[in-house]
Amino acid sequence: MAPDLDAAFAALGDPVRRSLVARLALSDATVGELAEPFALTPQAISHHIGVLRRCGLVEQRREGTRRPCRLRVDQLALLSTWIDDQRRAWDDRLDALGQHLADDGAGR
Amino acid sequence: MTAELRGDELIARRHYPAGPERVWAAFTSPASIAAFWGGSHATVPAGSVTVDLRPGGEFALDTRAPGGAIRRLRFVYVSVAAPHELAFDEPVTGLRTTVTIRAAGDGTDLTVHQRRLPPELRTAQATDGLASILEALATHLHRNGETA
Repeated sequence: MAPDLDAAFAALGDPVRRSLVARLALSDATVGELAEPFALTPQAISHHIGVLRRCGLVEQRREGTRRPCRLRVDQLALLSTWIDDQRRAWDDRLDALGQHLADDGAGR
Repeated sequence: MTAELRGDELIARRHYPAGPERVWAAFTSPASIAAFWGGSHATVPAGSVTVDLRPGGEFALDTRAPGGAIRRLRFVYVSVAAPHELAFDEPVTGLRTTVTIRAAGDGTDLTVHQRRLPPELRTAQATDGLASILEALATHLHRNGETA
């Protein structure tokens, strides 16, 4: 399934959610474990995790009574791939501009 | 490598041995846009480029892929400050591109920035935040690669 890039970028616009993603990049964690370092209630953390889950960046599984959250690194990698694609396109375009300026200048 | 990734912001940079006015003209006249926009992978038919060079004005072109597939791209100018800064949005993706042109030595330094975040989040903090995420991601991928 194609990732919802708009939703993912919008989700990452929030500083708390970026911190949660950075934390989950280190290891899986439950909402309670995620709440500890933040001055936020587990309910608030749950809300943010819900946003990250809906855009596909985080998944939650059940282990008995625990529900650890896991970062979908593959989905996050797609975001950086998208940025890399833009970089490549502009690198190529700016090289072509350099050639165009050289040709244009020589013709004067 | 003359492009770098800084958070959500793409930066491509070039120095050209041509004055800012010539670089500005290349970015704003349909004939020269057609000449370079497609880079080495696509062609842009000269007749397909339309430029309404004013804030709110549209800038559009067709790109033709090597296989012949044609794609119409549309942008809306956000700011037009000749010959130094040109910003345009792509309404379909919400992507904003800012091209900055500065005299440098005997030529011009050109910079391209791109931002996809909503305007209220276009802050240094947001940019740094995503950079730290992508760093964490790189570390994560590296570590997983070692243990795999």
